[in-house]
Amino acid sequence: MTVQIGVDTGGTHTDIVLLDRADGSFHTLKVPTTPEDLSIGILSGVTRILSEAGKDESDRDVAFHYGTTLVTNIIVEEQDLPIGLLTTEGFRDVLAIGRAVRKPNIYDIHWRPQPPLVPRALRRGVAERIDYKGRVVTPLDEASAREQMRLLRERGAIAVAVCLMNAYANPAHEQRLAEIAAEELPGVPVTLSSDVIREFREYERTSTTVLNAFVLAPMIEHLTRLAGRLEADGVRRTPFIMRGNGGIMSFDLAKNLPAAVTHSGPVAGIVGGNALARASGVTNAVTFDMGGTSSDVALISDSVPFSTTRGKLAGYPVLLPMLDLVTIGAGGGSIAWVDNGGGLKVGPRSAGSVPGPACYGQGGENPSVTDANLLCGRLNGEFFLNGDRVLRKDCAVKAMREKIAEPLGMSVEEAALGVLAIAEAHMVNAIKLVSVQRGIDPRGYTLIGFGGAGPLHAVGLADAIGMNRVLIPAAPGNVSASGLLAAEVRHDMVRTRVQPIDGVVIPEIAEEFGDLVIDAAKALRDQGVEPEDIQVLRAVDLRYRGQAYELTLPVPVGDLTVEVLSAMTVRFHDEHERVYGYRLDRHPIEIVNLRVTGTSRPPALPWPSFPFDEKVPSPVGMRRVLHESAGTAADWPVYRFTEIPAGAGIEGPAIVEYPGSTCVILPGWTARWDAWRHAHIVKSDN
Amino acid sequence: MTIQTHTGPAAATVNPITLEIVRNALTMIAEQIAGRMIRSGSSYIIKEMEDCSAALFDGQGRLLAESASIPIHLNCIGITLKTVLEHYFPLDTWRPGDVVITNDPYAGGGSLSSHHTNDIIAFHPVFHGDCLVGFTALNVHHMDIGAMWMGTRGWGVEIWQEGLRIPPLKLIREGGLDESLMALILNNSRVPRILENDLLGEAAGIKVGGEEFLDLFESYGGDIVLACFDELIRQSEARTRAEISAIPDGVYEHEETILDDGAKGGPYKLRLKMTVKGDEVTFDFTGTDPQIEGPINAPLSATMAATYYVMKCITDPDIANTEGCNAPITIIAPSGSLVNAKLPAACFQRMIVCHSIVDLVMGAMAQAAPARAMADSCGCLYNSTVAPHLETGEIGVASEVVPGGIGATAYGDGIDVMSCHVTNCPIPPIEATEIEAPVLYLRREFASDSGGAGRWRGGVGQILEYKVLGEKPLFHHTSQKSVITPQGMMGGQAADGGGWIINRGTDRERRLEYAIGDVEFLTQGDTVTHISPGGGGYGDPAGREHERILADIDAELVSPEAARRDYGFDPVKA
Repeated sequence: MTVQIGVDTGGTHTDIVLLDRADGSFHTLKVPTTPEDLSIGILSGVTRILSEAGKDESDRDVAFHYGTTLVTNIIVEEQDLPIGLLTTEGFRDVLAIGRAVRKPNIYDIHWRPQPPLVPRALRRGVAERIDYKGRVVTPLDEASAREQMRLLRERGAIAVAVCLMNAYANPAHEQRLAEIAAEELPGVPVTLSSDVIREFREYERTSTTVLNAFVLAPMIEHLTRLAGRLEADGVRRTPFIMRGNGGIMSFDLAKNLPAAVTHSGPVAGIVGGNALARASGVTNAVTFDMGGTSSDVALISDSVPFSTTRGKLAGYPVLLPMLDLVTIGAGGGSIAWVDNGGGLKVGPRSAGSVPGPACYGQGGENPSVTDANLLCGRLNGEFFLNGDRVLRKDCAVKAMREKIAEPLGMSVEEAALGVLAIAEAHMVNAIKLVSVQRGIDPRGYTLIGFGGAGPLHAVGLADAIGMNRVLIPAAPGNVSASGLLAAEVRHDMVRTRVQPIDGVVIPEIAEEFGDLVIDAAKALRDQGVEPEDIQVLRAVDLRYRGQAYELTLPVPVGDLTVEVLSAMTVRFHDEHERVYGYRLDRHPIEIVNLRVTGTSRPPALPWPSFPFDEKVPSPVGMRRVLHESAGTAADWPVYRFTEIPAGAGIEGPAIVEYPGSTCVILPGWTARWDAWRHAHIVKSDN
Repeated sequence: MTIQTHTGPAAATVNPITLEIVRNALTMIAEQIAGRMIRSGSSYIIKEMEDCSAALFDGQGRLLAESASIPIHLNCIGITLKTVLEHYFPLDTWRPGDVVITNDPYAGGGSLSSHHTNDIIAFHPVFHGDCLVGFTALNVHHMDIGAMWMGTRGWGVEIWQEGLRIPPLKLIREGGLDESLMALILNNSRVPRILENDLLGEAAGIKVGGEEFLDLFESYGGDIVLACFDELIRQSEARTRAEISAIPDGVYEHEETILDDGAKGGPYKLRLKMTVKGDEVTFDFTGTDPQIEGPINAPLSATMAATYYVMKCITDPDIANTEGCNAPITIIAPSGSLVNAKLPAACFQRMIVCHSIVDLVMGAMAQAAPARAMADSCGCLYNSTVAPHLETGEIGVASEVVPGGIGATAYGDGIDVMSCHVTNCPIPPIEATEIEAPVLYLRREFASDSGGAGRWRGGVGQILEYKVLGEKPLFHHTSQKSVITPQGMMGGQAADGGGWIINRGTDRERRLEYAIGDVEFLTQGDTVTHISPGGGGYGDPAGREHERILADIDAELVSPEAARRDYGFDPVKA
């Protein structure tokens, strides 16, 4: 295989990258997303980029890696799909009741919970019961099961989720229901909770199972059609899709487990950011991916992004492991507004792409973060999206004056600076949330800024937090798509085995780990990974006895011994003190879960490198930029990225205009471009 | 070292931008303090029911920000801080690294402190240089504090039966843990290992939060941040006053009843005269019955907290909850009454009075400005069974602050099965409970026909049923409003009041006579069924759209018979 294509479909645009590993050439392309059938846009883009790369029909030994927001879109847009849910009798409302808690505004008597994805008439109970140890308390009543399934058929259920009480401990009844469903509901796909995630907490597991069932039919249809079109177009290798855990999986596996594909786009960004950081020698980083409607922030320590099993999708809990990212409603299109009490707010409402920010001149009357950037001189109205869109300053001024400046009694310039300050404060909080909340001081970390708007704010955020290093990728708008090419095939296994670490029988644990390793390796081989390319990592979740949240610690390579476990005990106490501020050296520690992650060998880097050229780049012009206070506008040099060679350096203040993005380098910061033309921007007094 | 405190007006003026940034940062710090507590907590009440709340104060003890947690906690932390400052630790006695704790409802002589002994409230001072600039605080409901029964359940008749009372004391002095105090506290708990973890987590959490609080001063400068504090409080007050001004002036009276089924000598009356005048409002509870020999008496701090909560609901919930929100509010509560307990009244279940205070204020508000009010909700509901774990022998607790139906409003149906008003504890997962306690759950479902009919229907209650597998189970039950059920508003109908049944559907079935009871001993193998009340309806049921009635029938939330009876709607003809 020499050619790899990464495709990242977003709401409005689909980003495509092509890497030819034979000659290292790298191509990028942005095409409109075709929401009615995503595969149309993808195929036309793939065809175009292949021909741009000079690959004819006979020359298409191509690997296809896909990232998509389709799962989220289906959940958000298709609330009325008739999905059936079978539960243990007496528990059909668990999905609707959830945890019965009011957040985030505890005083709002008009707040209402999100409606469940399955309406009550399609939630049906089946007589059966299994206890927490997996013992059958009440046998499955097959007659009642058939009756409920017939009812679901009459009601037109297009997919069925099954989540029985304690099925994580014994899936037998769920598995039997699947067999019965094959008879009673032929052709209707069924998702069992025990196939999706074998972890306790019935509401969260039911939610995850229902999400999977909900997106199953449309995802099967989409992936099948896409794979068929790709094959017809000559792309004959197994296509892969990005999953929430930061790895990729084959389309065939994804058709069974589409809930694992959640957050595929933002996760690809984290993987891409991590890959380029690692290549540049950066192992501890915060990724900051800012687009039109939101910003995604994630933390990477020792080149490993943090993950969580308590994530959410469109507000619904998902128990599957996914990279832990904080999303905030602060993107370029986020709207600034003044509340009843005269407070200036930014987001979470977004102007979207229609009408878009006021400066798009499409009738948007509300000032957005993009308008503020334009008014402060940070954006070039004539060179936005490579000049594809002209930004109208007059429209931005009008919106900022009417909605913010006049109500607050300040100048348009002050208002614009204020909007940026508040938006950046939200981002600073998000960065603290992923770092300080885990007991990690972000100041020793590098901030990686990407997405269309990330480079506009990255240096300012780093400055505010006291981070001394910023990394801006060579193609800030293509990090997600290129992340798809940097991802490994990844498969996570978990087994819950709660026991005190002191009483562990080492051969038993070793055997359990051994079984998980075999299962993980098999899952990888089934997806075409060669045995010699398989890598396996072991980890355990530990906690003080009685706690409900665990800390995950890696198990060192090699034999498990008493010494290894005792070293992990020490490490746990230290880690606990770092995260929570206290330790209990005499308290018993419990092992909760054994985890095994199988991955393929990490692929070589997708970015092309360039020869160094010490020539000092010259600016294409000067621009009046407002910074810090409205009275201190100054002329800053403006550079074009296309004219900056590898090895070049620029001192701030400066603006660097990328084809799809703009980087602001504040005074006191210095940028240097490396061999891949990633910019390393460093606080000068360091 | 000399300790300076910031008092009086701040020197600097602030712009709305810095103000907004400081406001967001304070809220985030409070949320992180509460979040860390939940993740490090080991008692079931903290880790699964999230019964803990964080708040931040300025150097004078004025509320600045809070986590979105338990309303009744939040509005009590500041009252307790004032008592601590006035009677125990004046500002000049705090040192960096200190943590002061108390759980004593009667600290300071009145009842302006922790609401009940299980809530240990902890405070940590924040110093910017030598200047005491603020406090971080957590209120945590701990598992067991050594009362007559595990978890302080049961029908205590005086405070001495409700466990160890800790007056405000420094658990940590300048960073050093007071091992003697800790040993004394742990020695009084049935679950010392859990309490130790959770109390240390509480203290560590507010200290970490204190560092984040201090970062604000270092980022923006002391004068600016202090000026922001003043302005945050001023804005909340101004906005609250504007909201009160929009409510028609007048005197509005309302009455609620507790223990209305005659339990424990009931019924007892709560009375309210609400006087709105200009931009101020007075809540006068004169005429409320005296405190009783039972654990339902509300300390004054609890009455204030419930009143502050409902004021936020009926004004503008988006106003940031700071000290300023409460300035236009006067509360008159006779000492020694159900709404202002005095020593030695027991008060573990003060929430019964607190929930009724919310409905009391809503009922008065319905006369003044009905669109701001909400019909009655399900009230205070606890369901708790304690028995030793079948395998480990450790104390197993199956317990929840039970959700029920919420009242409808002028704008929509009430919420089905939700934590009610001043409580906001998530229900624990059944699968988590079954690992820790010897119970087998049989049912958690909506209770059809339990919501009050109306133009907008009240939320339905819940049927919760479980079988007790352990030996010698101790059962404790609380459910309000079994006789005078949650009332409707503006023509809406009352909801079902629910009830308790032991061994339902067997020849040993018994319906509990009273909805609130003492600890009682069940028999291994018994089942407990609790039907929680629904919420009251809002507006005339005849005005409800037929599509909504049909949808409710399809979802089996309303039966065809009830549709005919309550709405005069015949689904067969429709």
